[in-house]
Amino acid sequence: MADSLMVADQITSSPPDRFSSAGTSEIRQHSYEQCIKTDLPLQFFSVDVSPPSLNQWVGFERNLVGLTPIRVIPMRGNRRRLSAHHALQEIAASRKAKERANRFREEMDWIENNRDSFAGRWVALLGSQLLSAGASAQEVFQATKSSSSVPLIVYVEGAELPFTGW
Amino acid sequence: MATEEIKPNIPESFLEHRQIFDRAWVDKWTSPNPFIGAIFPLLRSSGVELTDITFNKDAANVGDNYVNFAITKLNAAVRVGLDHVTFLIGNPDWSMAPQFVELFDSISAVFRDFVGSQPTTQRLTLAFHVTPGNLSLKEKTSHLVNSKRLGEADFFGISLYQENYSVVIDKSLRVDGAAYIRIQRTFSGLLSFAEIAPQLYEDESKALSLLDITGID
Repeated sequence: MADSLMVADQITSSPPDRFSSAGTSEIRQHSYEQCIKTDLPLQFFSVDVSPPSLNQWVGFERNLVGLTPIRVIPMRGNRRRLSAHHALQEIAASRKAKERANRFREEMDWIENNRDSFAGRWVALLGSQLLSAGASAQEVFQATKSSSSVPLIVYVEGAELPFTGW
Repeated sequence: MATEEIKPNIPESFLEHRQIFDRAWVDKWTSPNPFIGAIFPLLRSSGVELTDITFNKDAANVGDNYVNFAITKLNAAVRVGLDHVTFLIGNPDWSMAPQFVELFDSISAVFRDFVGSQPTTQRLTLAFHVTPGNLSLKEKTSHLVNSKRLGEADFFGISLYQENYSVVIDKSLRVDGAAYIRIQRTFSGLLSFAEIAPQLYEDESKALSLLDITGID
């Protein structure tokens, strides 16, 4: 695991054109091992300074393959972490909503694919997994009562007969 | 006269998240590059134009090749190499985390479908400079080491390595009077950004708490 030996350090680099690869050739790289072996201080990982732009650009690098010069936009003070808790809640809610939507889609697919076999019966589904099937809703509900997740309990109707007119 | 309260601040930060696959998609790396067609539509809504898509001109070998999608509106980029995808953000802001999670998870899903495999591992690096406000970094960092044995210093740096996690706290070379913190964590290839984000927050908070910095929250 050579990569794990690489250390991201504080690097200044000449300004690249936004996030493009321009400028990377001007940056020297030293591996952690090289620094240790040659007694280079860690800040010598990759330092190549272009003075006029030193204050506008900074990059951090931690691997052998390519550098990551990056433009830094001024921070908005302490706002950065003010909303972290809120952001994480939003992410979690969004993730749950997506999981529910995916699960529901799987359940609908399952019903479509198994309609003929289970027509006229009640089924309990958790995504594409059939938890229980029975003649009544109560029977199916009893069978899945101990399930840690809330399954979809639904009556499977048979496929509709083709409409042939009056 | 009471001392004016100066709050800790993070003037600069950088996030890199790399998804590493166990096989290279050399066969898919054709001209025109099909990854552009797969990913570009997802990035249009983030203001990405064709002019924001570039190739690494300085590739010294095949492994150095990548196509770079610059998302300038978000100060971020997505880089597709031959066996990895890298997501980069300059000055990541937690208030924008939901937007990044949504975008990166969408790209990741499309990408996995396109190459037909899952990443074997994901490695996240968060690096930032933090000013301590009224706190004394000399005092706070001296608590992290055996300062009696080491002797006097303006700043004591530490590094901590675990199997899937590491943190480095060093004196900032870039920002006067600040500390530089780098956090790296390796995740399973199956985890989404939505699942990774809470862990990142925990790691960041934990690293800051080593310096008793809590005022940023």
